[in-house]
Order: sequence, then C-alpha cells, then structure tokens
Amino acid sequence: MYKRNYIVLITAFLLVSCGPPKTLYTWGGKKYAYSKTSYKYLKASNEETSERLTKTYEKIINDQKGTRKVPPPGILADYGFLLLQQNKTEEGKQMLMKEIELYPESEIFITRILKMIGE
Amino acid sequence: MKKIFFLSTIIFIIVSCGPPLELRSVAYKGMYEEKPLSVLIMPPINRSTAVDAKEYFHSTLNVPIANAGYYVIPPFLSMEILKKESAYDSELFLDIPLKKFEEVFGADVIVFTIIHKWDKNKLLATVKVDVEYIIKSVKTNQILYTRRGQITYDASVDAGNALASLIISAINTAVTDYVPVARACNAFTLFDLPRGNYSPLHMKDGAEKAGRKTFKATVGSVGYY
Repeated sequence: MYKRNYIVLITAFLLVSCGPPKTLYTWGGKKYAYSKTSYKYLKASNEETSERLTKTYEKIINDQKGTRKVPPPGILADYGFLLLQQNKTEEGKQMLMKEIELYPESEIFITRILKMIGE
Repeated sequence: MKKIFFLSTIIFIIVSCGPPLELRSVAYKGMYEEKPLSVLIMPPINRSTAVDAKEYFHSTLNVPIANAGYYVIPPFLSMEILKKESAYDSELFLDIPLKKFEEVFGADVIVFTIIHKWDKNKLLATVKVDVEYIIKSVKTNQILYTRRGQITYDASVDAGNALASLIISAINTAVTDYVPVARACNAFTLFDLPRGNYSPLHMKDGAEKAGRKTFKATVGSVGYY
C-alpha cells in the first residue's frame, strides 16, 4: 500500500519535472549566457567585456533555439547600439532597422535613435 | 485509480494551503483589458544599503519579461536615453503621469522595481531580499500588476560534513553576485505575469491562479540564460 503510494508520488514528481524547458527564446547558452555577459559589460565596459557581449548577441541572433525561432525583442537594437559604440555605424544602423522589421512596435523609439545618429 | 485521485487531491491541498488564490484574470484584470505589448523597464529604485543593486537588477529584468511574451524596449539603449534625458531616477516617475514615455519610447506599460532590502548573511549562506514589482499603464496610470516578496536566496552547499559545508557555504555567499539572486527573485515573482502577445498562452491564462500580492519564499539558483 505504502509502496504503491510512494511510486505514484515519484511518478507525479517526474511528470511535473521532466522534459526540456520550452521558452520563447534562448539567450546564448552556457558559454555566452546573456545574463552574465551583459552584467559584466555593465559592471565594466572594456574591450574584453564588449567582445564577449558581441559574441553573445551574435549567438542569440544566429543560433536561436527558442520556440519563436527569432531573436528576442531588443537584442537586435542593443547589438546595433554596441556596434555604433564600436564606430561600426552602418552595421549598427542595419541592426536597428532589423529590429523595426521584426518588431514594428519598436518603430517610435528606434526611429528616434536613427534620427539622433543622423544628426 | 481512486487511490491516485485521492493522492493527487492531497498533494493539491498541501500545495494550495492558506486562503484561496485569485485567478489571474481577476488579480490582474487591467492586464487582460489593456493587453499591453511594449514594456519599458525602468532602472530599479534602490532603497537598500547595497549600492550596486540597481544596475545589476536592471540587467536581469528583460529576459523573464520577454520570455513571458512581451516586447521589451531594448534595455541598454533605453538606459542610455534615460540617462541622457536625466530620467535615470525612477523614483521621480513613480507617482506622476507617464504619457511622455509613450511618446518617446512607444511604451504601453512601465515596470518599476523597488529594492527595499538586500542583506547578505555569510554565516547562514543566505541573501535576504525584499523587492517590489509594479507594472503601471502609460495610458491610464493604473497599476496593472504588483507583487512584493521577501525572498531568501539560499547559497548554502552540502559538502558532506558540517564544518566543510559551513566554510564552503560562507565562501559561496561571499562570491554570490547580485545576478543569480536577482534572477531567482524575478523568476519566482513574475511566474504569474499574464502572458503577452508573443506567447501562445496570450489571453488564455486568465483561469490560472495568481500568486499572492505579498509573499515570503526561499529560493535557489534558477540556472543560466
């Protein structure tokens, strides 16, 4: 009796806790975990942290394994912003425009940024 | 079969003890009525003694909100503009009309976070955080979502014997950065945020239970992202 209940409990637990987590987006995996690299860049922006963040953005954009299969909101634009800071103006602008393409609701803000760059 | 039903009823009762929880469609009625899409995350308001908590909490908020199906206005870019416009002190905007944020950022809602407490205890290997999340509508200025949690982040390590565990746990707390703590708080608190437009559950999760407005919890690490 007890044994059977025990098995039922374990099965219930396994059912609840099994399966890969399905999220809308993936954020760079273990090596380039967004939360780590963005935090380190925020803490001290230098050549090394900026390079790690660049690689993280590239991984998130080009190797997206989330259920939506597109880069998460804000990532293309923030990557564009990083490129602008590295004086890669044209590439930066392109990323900003891609953000609008993928997320039309970003138009108000991103257009404002593009105007600021143009000034 | 009957037994399984009986058992699962008991599990359900154990899990759901205390006064009944509200449905999300009731607790967060405004979220379902306004259906916000664009979310601006404001720099956290830091009322704790941990001086750097503000920046580090800020860098962890976009992931759970994007994963919940919302458009999150680019965090680095928006932070830069807020700094430029001398709007980096979120405290100033907590109680005033937010219409301007719609014009500049195209935001539908704004996320405020208030860090009330952030205390490390090396001996117990814990970090105690008291944090409040407030989501306000830009259009109506109403609070659409709010939760406040006293969360204990447990960084303790079981190393087999008591003394080794104590030493390793103390070291672990000393090196515990703000990021995993902030992420655990976000994950624990925002689990009941109604799903946004990009989620397949958008407008379909109103019958699920909302968490309590104020709560106490002990959490551990929530992996990486």
